[in-house]
Amino acid sequence: MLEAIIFYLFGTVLVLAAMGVVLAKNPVYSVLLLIFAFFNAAAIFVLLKAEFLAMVLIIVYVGAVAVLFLFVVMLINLRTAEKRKLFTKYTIFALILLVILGIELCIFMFKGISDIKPVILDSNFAQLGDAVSYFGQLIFNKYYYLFLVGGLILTVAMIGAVIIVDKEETSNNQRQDVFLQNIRSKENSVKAVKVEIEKGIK
Amino acid sequence: MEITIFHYLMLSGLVFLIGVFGIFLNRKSIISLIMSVEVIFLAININFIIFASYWNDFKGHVLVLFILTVSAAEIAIALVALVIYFNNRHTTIVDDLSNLRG
Repeated sequence: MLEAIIFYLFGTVLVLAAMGVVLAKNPVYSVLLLIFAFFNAAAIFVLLKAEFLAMVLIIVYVGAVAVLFLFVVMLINLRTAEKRKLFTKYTIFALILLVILGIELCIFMFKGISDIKPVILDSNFAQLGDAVSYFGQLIFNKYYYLFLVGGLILTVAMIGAVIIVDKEETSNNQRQDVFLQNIRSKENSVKAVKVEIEKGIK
Repeated sequence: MEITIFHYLMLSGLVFLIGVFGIFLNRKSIISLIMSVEVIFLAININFIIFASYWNDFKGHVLVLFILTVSAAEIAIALVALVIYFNNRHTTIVDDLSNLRG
């Protein structure tokens, strides 16, 4: 009973927040509603006995990614950027596609997957002892190569982002080149020119 | 009033549909597109955790962790590209991307 109350409370708020993300006119409101949706999804994760991932979602996603979103939205000046209209010529198309996709999902869920029994989700993770330490053993022992690849992907993304921004900056900034400065001497930078009268220097 | 797996699947399916709807609705601004993609990622993660709980299998949780990693990297790159695009064009409208060359 308590599970049902928690599920309906957080599930309803999650759906409403997701709709707000999609429908809000101001991108700042969209980002804040996205953060709110992440918090509600974390509550759903806890209900499904994924406490560690719920904390990861809050710390990594709300703490890093959503704040990065907020930075970018603030960086892009909203006064000059266009306020978007809610209803465009694509709205009808989007609604039709939404209905078709919804019908497809319902068909697959209630007809196609007849193997899945409508059970109450009560997993036996508690049998494994401490669930978090089991999770750690899984990612550091059995799937350590995936862990390494994940780190590599993050490194490549970071280097790529820095290089893209750096190249953009150097195009209009004048940087100090120490080598060019050191090899510059009086002989190859200053010369005496005899100026002819009424002709000037070409 | 028991909460079965179908309730959870309905929830994640609904969130997924909202994300797809957002991609088609917000054809104008890139940042809204990226946020709709985030909503879709969230629905997929919920789905993975539902079935991990259903089969008593921790591999779903491992997969969710790596999905979070990859999507964080992807969002960082996308936002950098967005900022550079805005600095060049002073707009975030998707349709203007068709003017890009080379």
